[in-house]
Amino acid sequence: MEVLVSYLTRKRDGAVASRNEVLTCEALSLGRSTDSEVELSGPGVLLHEGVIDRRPGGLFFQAATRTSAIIDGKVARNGPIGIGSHVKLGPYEIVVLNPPDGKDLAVSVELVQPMEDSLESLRRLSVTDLDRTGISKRAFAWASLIVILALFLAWPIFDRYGMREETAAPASVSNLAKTSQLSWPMSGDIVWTSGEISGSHKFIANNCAVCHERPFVKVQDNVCVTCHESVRHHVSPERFDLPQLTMALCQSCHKEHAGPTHIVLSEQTFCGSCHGNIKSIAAASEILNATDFGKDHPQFRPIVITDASTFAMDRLPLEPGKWPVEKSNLAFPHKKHLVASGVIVPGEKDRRVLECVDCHRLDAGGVGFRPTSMMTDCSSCHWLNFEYTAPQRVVPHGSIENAMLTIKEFYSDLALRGGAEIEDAPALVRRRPGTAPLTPEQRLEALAWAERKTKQAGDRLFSKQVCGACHEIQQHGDALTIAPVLLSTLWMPKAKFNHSKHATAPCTDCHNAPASETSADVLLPSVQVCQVCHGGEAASTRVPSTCIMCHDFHLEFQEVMREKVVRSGASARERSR
Amino acid sequence: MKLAGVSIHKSIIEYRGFFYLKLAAGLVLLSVAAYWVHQPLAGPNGGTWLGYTLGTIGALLIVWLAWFGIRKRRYGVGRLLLEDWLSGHIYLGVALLIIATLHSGFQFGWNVHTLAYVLMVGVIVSGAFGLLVYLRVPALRTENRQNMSLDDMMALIAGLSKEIYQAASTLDDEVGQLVQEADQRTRIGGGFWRQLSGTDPHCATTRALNKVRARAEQFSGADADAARQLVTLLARKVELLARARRDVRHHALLKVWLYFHVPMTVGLIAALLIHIFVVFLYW
Repeated sequence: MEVLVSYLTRKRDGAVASRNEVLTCEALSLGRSTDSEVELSGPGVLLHEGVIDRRPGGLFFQAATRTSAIIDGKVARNGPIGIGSHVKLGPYEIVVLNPPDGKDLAVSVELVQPMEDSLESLRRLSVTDLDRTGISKRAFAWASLIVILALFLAWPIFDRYGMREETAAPASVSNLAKTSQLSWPMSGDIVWTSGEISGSHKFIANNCAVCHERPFVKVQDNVCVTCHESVRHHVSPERFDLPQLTMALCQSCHKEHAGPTHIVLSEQTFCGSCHGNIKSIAAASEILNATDFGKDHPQFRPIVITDASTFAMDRLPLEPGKWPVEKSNLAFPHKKHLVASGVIVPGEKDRRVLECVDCHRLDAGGVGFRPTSMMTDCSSCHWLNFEYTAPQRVVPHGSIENAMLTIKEFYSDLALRGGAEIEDAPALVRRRPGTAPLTPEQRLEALAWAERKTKQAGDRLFSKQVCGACHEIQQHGDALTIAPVLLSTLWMPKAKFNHSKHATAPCTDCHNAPASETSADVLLPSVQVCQVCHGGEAASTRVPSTCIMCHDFHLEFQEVMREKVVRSGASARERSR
Repeated sequence: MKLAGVSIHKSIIEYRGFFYLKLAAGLVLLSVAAYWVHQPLAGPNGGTWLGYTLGTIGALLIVWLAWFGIRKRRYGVGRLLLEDWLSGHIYLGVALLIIATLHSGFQFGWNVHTLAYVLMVGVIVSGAFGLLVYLRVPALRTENRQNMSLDDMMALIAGLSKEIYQAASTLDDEVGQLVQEADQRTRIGGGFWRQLSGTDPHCATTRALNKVRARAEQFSGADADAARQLVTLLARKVELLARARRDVRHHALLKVWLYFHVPMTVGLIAALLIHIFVVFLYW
């Protein structure tokens, strides 16, 4: 068949140029291949796109194998076409035209979808700048600003000042603990904490308002003394003008939010800053300087009873060669009681070997000892009996009058009742009980015997043999007195010593009692004995020991600090008026 | 940052005979010495006199360092040159890390104060990364570019397409399809990570090269010659693409740290203001 092919080229101004070509072929083949009747060059075109041929029913388009075309807007492998049909092959469009005379077929061929320019395509697809990836520094900056302001400023302020009801100051610790349990698992302002709260205050850790009462005001002492109401001064505000001690805020020493460690200062430099030269701080002070337990600590100065008769006491140093002597008015040789062979115990066959704990028993807290007493510690061996035919009968300890009365009652009872088995007793007293009643004369005779016996027994009792073995007995005419006894229960009241913590060491390591022959010996160890094991805070080959290991800062015998708070609060109110 | 060329980068480090290095080192030595000597009760922390002093110095440094972001956009303003600002920014920024750490007394926790510290460390670390990048990458970039701009490279790559189409014109449809995709779907760069990686695992040209190379053995005669030429051309294009992508990577490296440095600075200033406000609110 004769085919007219018009190759159309559309110019920029819209004008169409055409180049005509007349072909003679069996069927019109189209494709990129050079053997195609209509050669469609360029990318996007197959080697063989398809053929147009004439069939009995008319024109027909048949696509090449496994390809399809768009025939009149429909995707199809093949189909009848007629004049006016559009067949789209890749970027080309074939339009079937009305054939001129003598021609069997006329088609126009136009590149309707020219391929994008390679450079344009590459530029369009490429993103070569981070700023064009949709990730924006500005957006990040705004986001971080908003999130931080919201979470760390707005929400805490709202939670602290906007939502919580103001509660009255808690009256007790348990009340405080209850009010600190907020409805939120974590209060908003917890993000403001400047550090972990100390262990003993953790129960209020979630309730900043307990201590931080007013904004932009330091935590005041009234908050502390709400609970710590019995804390006392270090020095007497009346005796010493030391406002840095007596007027300082609690928090100037007790630093909170410094981690889980204890809130009590333990640095020896804190103490040493004053006690290194105490006279320069407090001229009237009588205490000695100390800065380090291992290197710079004065000799111990226990309170020694210098004369129990006059209640005289003195602080005397434990200086070797000038060891203090105590006058307690009680004779007690430790050496005799601690002999290795033991002591004789009335009523027992064998001797008993005594140990320190037989008399010195730790008190319930384990820190010190219960006071020794005649009743609990001496009387099981030292019987205060007076009549050998009745060895179980003893006089009460502590009062001469009561002792003498007990003896008198014993003998008077025997004399009046009869039946005494005492050798030197008259027959009247030895008579069988229950016989005829005594006449008044007989009663006088019997009681006269009882008087004599009472005197004999009293003389023996209050001699060196019994009471005088331990006590100093003084005779004033007919009257007897026993010198008052005074024993130290606490040698050094400003120093704590926990005996139970030292239980692994034998008592005699520190107290040389087995060698002590008299109660005048002050059986305390000197500071050098402690320093064998204990050193200063920085010691590396001794137990590091800070001042507060033994000494308290807030002293029990001083005024309570709460008074200071009340006073300063009052004066602040005065000022505000 | 509008500074280009290796010489400028070096001069920032050595600027004015290391004046700002000496200034920063002096500041750090003074702070460390004070921290060493000062032994406050209950341990060092931000609330002692030294803590407040170091905190004030740190806060002023942060403000001055952040002001660089504004100063660098204004030319010829003030007595100091922009080079002064940059040199000082680098050395005093590092000094800030030490001063702020001493200010903290090494007390860290889950709170706004440590948040400010962490953000500050983030800003300084990203800045240090930026400095390293500016010292190292420009030389690599120059070497990679071989006197071409990215536009030049793109023009060269696109220019190869015509020859590639030509070489593929006689080959079968599968090759035609690969070649067309290589032309129309190849791209340089892309998303954030794609730009930073400097590679493209889905590159249409690389795919075309690999497939055409595998198929080339099947061709014979004129087709085999065409296929050989096609492979050569595609390989040349792949090489140029790799070079262009490396250039994009270099460009991205020079900018990426700012995506952390700038937003974290803004966050730091917010956290710092809250830190100062709260310290006195809950005194």
